[in-house]
Amino acid sequence: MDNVSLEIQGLSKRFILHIRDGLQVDALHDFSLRTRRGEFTGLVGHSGSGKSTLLKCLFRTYLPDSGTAAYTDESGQRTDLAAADEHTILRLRASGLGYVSQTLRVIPRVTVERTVGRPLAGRGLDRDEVLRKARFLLERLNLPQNLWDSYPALLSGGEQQRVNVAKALISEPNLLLLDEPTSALDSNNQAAVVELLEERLDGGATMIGAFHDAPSLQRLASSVIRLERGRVTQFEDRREAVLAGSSNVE
Amino acid sequence: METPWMLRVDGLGRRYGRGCARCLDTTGPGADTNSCAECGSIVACAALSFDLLPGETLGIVGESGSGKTTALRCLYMDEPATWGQAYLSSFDGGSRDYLQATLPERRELRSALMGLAYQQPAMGLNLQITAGGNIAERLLNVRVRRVSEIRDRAKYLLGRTEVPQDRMDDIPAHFSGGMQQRVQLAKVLANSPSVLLLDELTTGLDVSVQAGVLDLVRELQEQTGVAMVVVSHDLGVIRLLAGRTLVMKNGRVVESGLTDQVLEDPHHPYTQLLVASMT
Repeated sequence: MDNVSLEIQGLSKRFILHIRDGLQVDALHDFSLRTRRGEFTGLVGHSGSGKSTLLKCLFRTYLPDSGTAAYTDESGQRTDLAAADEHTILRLRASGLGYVSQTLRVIPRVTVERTVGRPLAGRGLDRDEVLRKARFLLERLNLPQNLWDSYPALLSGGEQQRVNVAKALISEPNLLLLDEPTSALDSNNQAAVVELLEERLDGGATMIGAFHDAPSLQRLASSVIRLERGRVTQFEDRREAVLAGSSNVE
Repeated sequence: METPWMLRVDGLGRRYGRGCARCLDTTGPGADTNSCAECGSIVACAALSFDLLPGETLGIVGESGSGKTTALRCLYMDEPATWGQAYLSSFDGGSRDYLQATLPERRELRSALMGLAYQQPAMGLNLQITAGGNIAERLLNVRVRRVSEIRDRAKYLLGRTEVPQDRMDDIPAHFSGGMQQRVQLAKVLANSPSVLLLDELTTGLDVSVQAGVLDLVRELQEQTGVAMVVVSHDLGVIRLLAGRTLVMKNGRVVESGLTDQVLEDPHHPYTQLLVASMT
């Protein structure tokens, strides 16, 4: 059964810095990947290897120079994320396409729980329902209740990261892109994030994530890609490793 | 038939001066000037085109001379456009160029269908009458007549824009800048316009006050679903409010795209310079 949710082919991204006299930076070269619903693809590599570039190209914060990224949603509708018009991308970002950045972009004067609930604005849910969902996630992420009506700018890095994760998960995205979302978390809180992600994956979501911490990657990833200077240098399909292992056992 | 867009702008432009055949060729970002080399006319903006969808916020960013404010003033008909057309879905189903509307139609457009909030609240408010009176004026423009209805609506709007009840009968001339902006917002939203134009709304306000006004604008948009065009030289404001952004220089659009993409992956040399200077 073809459950392919994302098919990336030949995705490339290059920056031309005019204020540096046209200096060219090749950030991503000819990246391809095919992934299915319920799968988590891990990205590893040093900083500057292209992990963030790939994720931002898929979210369209960066405009890819070439290649395609065909995303198929739950209803079977196919969109090339690399080439779709802006309004289509905005619609996708409002429902279905999610992104967890490493740092939280703080909006002044909006409390923690309202920050988490923001993505649900304009969906016709009443305020209490939105708050309930936000609080549920904050609780799962071990964020103390006394911080819920506080301001994100006053939180620690680890607390802000968890708010960021909650904000991305509240709209139950179908395709979730994660850029080092647990870098400032202790193992306890990392596990809490992983648990939530696993639940989403069980629900049929597709994820691509750059993670530094090996335990999280171990639990989540069905394949791992290593990037070096914008190119893939290693690809490990754990499904195959798992299948090979079980056939050996039998 | 309904249009997918709320506002469509096609080739909008404004020239000051007698004009000549070379005005457009000798001005713009390439020439690094708004002034025509041949006749000295000023091309404040030209070739501005975009679609604004219902509920969407479009940002326009640029420095002095970019033409962003002129564009807004032309769209609101504070000034006559030299070139181009503009269509509003709520005006004749978007079938007619509203820039050519008759005088009575203009009044409806500017009172009910569109709103423009100015950088200087004094330009958008009558500082001689009360805060409540300013809103009443707007309602009367669309022939709302019952005093109780007017007062209730004014109370409601000022409440939404967090202007304290006891200031409703005070004259805005004595209010702080932030408070004046709130009254202006209440006023422009009085008749539930389909498009709201914001011209440097928070420029000049203290930082803490800015945050409050911006938060208010976001909330009002979430609640009313009004489509907005936000003009600012402040990238932070644009980033907060706009999903898509146009970058203008010397009267022309040099770059356009999703706001985060324009700010994090700018392509045009001017945009790169702007982003590097401000973030």
